[in-house]
Amino acid sequence: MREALDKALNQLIEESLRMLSLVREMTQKATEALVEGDRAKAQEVIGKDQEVDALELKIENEAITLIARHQPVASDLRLIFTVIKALTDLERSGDYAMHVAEDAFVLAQEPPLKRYVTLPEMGRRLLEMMDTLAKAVAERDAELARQVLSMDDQVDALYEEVSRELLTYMMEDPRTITKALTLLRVARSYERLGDHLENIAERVIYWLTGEVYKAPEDVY
Amino acid sequence: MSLEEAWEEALEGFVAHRERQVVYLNPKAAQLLGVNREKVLGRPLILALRDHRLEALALHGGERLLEVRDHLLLVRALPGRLYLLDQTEAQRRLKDLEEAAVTLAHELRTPLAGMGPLLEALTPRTRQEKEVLDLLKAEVARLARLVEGLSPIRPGPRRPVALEEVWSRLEKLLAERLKGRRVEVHLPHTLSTDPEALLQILLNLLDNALKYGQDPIRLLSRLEGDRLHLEVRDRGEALPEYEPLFLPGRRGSHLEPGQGLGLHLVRRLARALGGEAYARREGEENVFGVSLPVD
Repeated sequence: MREALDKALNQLIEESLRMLSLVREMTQKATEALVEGDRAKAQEVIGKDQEVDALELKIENEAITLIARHQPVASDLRLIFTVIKALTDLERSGDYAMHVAEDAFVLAQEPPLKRYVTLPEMGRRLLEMMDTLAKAVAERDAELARQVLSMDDQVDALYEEVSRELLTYMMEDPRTITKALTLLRVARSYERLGDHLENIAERVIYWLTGEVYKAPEDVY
Repeated sequence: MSLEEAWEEALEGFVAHRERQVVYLNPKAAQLLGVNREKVLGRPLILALRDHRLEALALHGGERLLEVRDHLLLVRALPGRLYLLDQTEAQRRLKDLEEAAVTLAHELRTPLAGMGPLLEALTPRTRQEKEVLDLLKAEVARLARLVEGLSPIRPGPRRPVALEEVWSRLEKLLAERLKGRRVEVHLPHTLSTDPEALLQILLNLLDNALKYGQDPIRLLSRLEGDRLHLEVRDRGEALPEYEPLFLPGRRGSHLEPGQGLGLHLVRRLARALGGEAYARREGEENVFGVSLPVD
């Protein structure tokens, strides 16, 4: 019985890692589509969102079946709830990657406002966050999960930077407003994606240590 | 020395797996994948690879260039075995080379553009002078083509193009060389694209097949998902490798004239049109083709 439960729990972790990897691929391709003005790539990302949604449903069903069948307790139950809660965040992360791709698709129809520097940097940091998160889960390392939290602070700082920069563009030349607003939305999507990854990292810390961890800025 | 000891020192990453579990991975693989060896040995494959594309490749087999975390890896998967070759540095060098070539082409273009008309203005007085002048003109034209091949590519306006129509232009351009050759054409599709870029792609592919390939040559189009594949297939002998043929300066044969830019240009044109160029062996045929997006 214990063996069957362990197997099922491991499978949950594996499936979640696959889902995270899929979101990572979407985020990377969406950023490439933005920088290269590649509409085909943007469309590819938009198509992948359905895969993420399907995976979410599948994993959620598996988790529920697991509870019904094995009635897990203590750390096992903690893991299952971590996965179930993290699924929602992962699914939303996929949505934000898709939003970046959708905006990249629109932006690719015209010459870019400027050479994008900070936005791809945000995308790169997010990939780093996802890599660290995957490693934390695979190697069950709470310390790595804590690192993810501080990485999100860097993404937030970059978001501030982009917002201010785009604002100056709009003030200097109102003709740039449409493009700048779209770019601002891209930055916002990245920033939100980072927040969802942060949520997942907090869940992972809870799963591995039992401590309810909230990043400082979330505590009111 | 045992085989395992040899793998410990190898410069190529190697992962052995059985029933989706990691049985062995060498230090290079651990480094390329960014994993702690002790923590993933004996555990599920996805925990070590942490990438769904890499896992799928490991389980289903094949060869692919994949960006995994910070590395660009050439991954070859055989049953139970996964080989990882780091291509990050090589790819970076290639990119630098391409950028240098584009800059150089840009610098050469203006003086070259001036030379053509200047040569035309000269009147040769003797037969020898005429020969030299003709040679100079031919060389300048060759340089101009070379520069054209290295310059950045911007596709022209798109319009719906019946591929049959492209073939009739190709037939006229290559009339002399098509005489006595067996070329089968099957191009039933219509594609919205830049007709000039498309012509150039097919011209280069067909030119190569006529030069290096063996009859019968087949020129065909087929729809696969949202991509249209245009392929030139010939019965030539299998080549030792395919992918490097797309690098600038690679020539199919040292006996034939050319700068080795044909396939390189095909790839750059295909990419500029939102597609990709590929080459591979399929059965008894060498296949050179492009896949282009269909809107």
